[in-house]
Amino acid sequence: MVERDGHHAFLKALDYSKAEEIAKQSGIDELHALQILVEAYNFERDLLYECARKRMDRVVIAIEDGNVRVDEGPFGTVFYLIFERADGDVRNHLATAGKVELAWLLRCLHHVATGLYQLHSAKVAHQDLKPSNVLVFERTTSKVADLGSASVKGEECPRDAFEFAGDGTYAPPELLYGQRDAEWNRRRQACDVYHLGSLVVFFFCGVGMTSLVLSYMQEDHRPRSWGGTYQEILPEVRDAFGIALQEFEGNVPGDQLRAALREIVSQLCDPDPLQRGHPRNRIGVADQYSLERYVERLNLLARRAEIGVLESI
Amino acid sequence: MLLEQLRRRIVPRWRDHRTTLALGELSQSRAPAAISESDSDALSLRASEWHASPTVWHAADLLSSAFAVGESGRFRDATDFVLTHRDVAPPALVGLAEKIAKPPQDRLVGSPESVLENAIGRLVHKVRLRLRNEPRNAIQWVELARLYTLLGASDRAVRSMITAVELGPDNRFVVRSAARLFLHEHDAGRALRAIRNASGARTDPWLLAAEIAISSASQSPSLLAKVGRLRNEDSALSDFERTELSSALATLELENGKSRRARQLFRQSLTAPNENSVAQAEWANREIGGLDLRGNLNDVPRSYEAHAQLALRKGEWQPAIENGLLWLEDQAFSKRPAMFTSYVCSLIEDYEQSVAILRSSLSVNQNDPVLLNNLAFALASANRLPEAKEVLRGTDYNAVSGTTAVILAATHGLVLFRSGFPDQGRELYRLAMDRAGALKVLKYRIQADLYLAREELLANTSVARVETEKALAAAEKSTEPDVAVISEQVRRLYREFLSSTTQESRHEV
Repeated sequence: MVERDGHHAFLKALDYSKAEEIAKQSGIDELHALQILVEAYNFERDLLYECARKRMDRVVIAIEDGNVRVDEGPFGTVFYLIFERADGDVRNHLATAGKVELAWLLRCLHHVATGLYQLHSAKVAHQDLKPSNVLVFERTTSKVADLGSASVKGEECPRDAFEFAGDGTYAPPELLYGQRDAEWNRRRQACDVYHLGSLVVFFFCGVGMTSLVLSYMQEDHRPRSWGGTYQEILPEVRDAFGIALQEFEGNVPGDQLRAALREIVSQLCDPDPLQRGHPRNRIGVADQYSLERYVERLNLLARRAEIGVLESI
Repeated sequence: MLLEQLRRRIVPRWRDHRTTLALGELSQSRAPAAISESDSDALSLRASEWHASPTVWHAADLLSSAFAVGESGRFRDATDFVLTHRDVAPPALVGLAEKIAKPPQDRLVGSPESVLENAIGRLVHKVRLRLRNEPRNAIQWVELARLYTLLGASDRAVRSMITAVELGPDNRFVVRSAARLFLHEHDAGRALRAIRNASGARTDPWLLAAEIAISSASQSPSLLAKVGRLRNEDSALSDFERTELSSALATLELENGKSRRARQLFRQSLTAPNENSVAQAEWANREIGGLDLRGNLNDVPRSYEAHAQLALRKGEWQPAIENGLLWLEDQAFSKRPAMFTSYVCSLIEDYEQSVAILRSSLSVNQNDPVLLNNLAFALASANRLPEAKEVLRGTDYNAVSGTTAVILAATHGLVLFRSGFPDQGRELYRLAMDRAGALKVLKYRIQADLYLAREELLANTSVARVETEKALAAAEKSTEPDVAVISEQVRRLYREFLSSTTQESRHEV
């Protein structure tokens, strides 16, 4: 935490200690690993400024960057980024707010969907949306944070070579089962779409969609034990997905909201990336993974909850 | 009534998805991969966040993440925390924590449940309701096809299965179920296409076994037998994974007259068998001998068929019926268990049960000539002649071939006897015996002979004594318990016949 002009802000510094780990994992020397780290820092910094330039108001952007001299470390200096300080991530809000208002939850989801939509509009896939990366500002505004795992279409990005760029514990099922699609949209954007649906599930169930689905699968069919391909296991995943959706419904209050969110989640979290997204977006030249319709729908649901048309928790 | 001596092939069983999973036939497992360092770091970070902020939502995030990568067991404290705070935690999270704390038993295989027709209707409704929300769920399309099959709605079953195959062409459960249904519907070509088009057709031992067995059943050459032989030698496969493949290859060798190699492969299939491979080995043992099944029978879940067949060979009728009924419940759409169990019921003169089994099976296997024949036999034997005639209407013993021509001629003869036309009846029994002789199936000939004697005795014909003594003498050549039990019935009737003729003679004197 740092202070700038009387305002508190959040500082994220480049962690050189990770170089050793990267070197070990990738079988490269430490200098090369440091170079990778610095490139990743530069990538995130440039991307954050690009987001700022495009006025992405639902993405946490840097307010300053630079470096400070230090006595230790390989370069005698540490690069940093300074972000606007948030109240905390969404978990803190859910935990401290006691009985969370339905309107707040839906507005938060609307903000997150908007953030992802803004990124996608700039051909950026976030790839690491999870509860800890949804920050809450002044209790009312939510933003998507951490572009460290992001990928930009048509550009070489630091984490593009990774099997899964984001947090593997939140990965969509196809990636956990080792299916890698070479097509950027299907591999990167489809992942964001899934993560958004999974976040909806987390808000109501306290469990991400992947875990909820896997909890309905036999141990030897789960990713760590499965020896076949994703296409072979996909019908089993889909069957478990159907049961998981039923459980999700049971955790959502009110018939109206339940039906609306079930439809949203079933489209966003479809286990087959080829079927993911809004059905109308799969026709013609439309962007299959466009979140525009979901932004509108979540906004509408949030608005209804705010004016008391939807049942509250 | 005769039990058709069908050549057995190890075609895939078709059960509901849950049971098939529990039997372990859908596994394709490998040694669990180690968790990646980045996932491990993510979990450590999440654990430290939870320790810093011990709230339900931080515990939720930790457990959810850990479960996704199979590491939830490491965070017992977070699990306990959620369970302790279940009043404020979302129900789904509590459910997950309970599963982590006490993982459900995966391999619990219960007995098959007898499903009544109205219960099937309810199940159809339930599955269709799911499919309305999940139209791309191939597993549920298979379930729907199975339920339609049990209801005898074969067109709907086939349509549902075609949808399932389109949606899940590479999934073992879908493909094997589809192959089984298409074979049941006498469309072996479609069954083989479903298997051969699957991406794992050349590597998956369960698909290879199905391709070899169905090719053999449809008298067409297997395109994957050679690959199957190589795969069967692959040490990467577990004994259980290879059981049906070894058995299918063994059957192929047996059909090619290579009994020694067949025996070796059957023995291999019995290293870690499933009930299908045990039943196949039991059948093979009757053909070529030299196989020891004793070690397998009691350990393999649902090995009703093998138990039933062995009980029949030992003349243990009640265990044969009990296991036959369980076999029938397990494979309710299949005619083989119905034929078997109704046959044993008829052997011990429980014709009512025999009729009930056959009527139920005929609702699924409509117009099957063997089932119709057996039903007519049971009805006629129970003196329900009008019903027996109704069943036989439309059947023609001259329009069929093989052993069916034998049994159908005999049953027509039986009905004629019971209708008061012994001469015509006798003629048809003799026709059946001649056909059995031509087919070189001695057992059929002996049984037809015994049943002719039974009818002669009951009709009190002039040739009853001669026919009976001849039939009993012929039956002496057989060592089979089912022949022995019919002989005993005939002997009993013969004693009654003799005593009544003696009384009549005394009366006359």
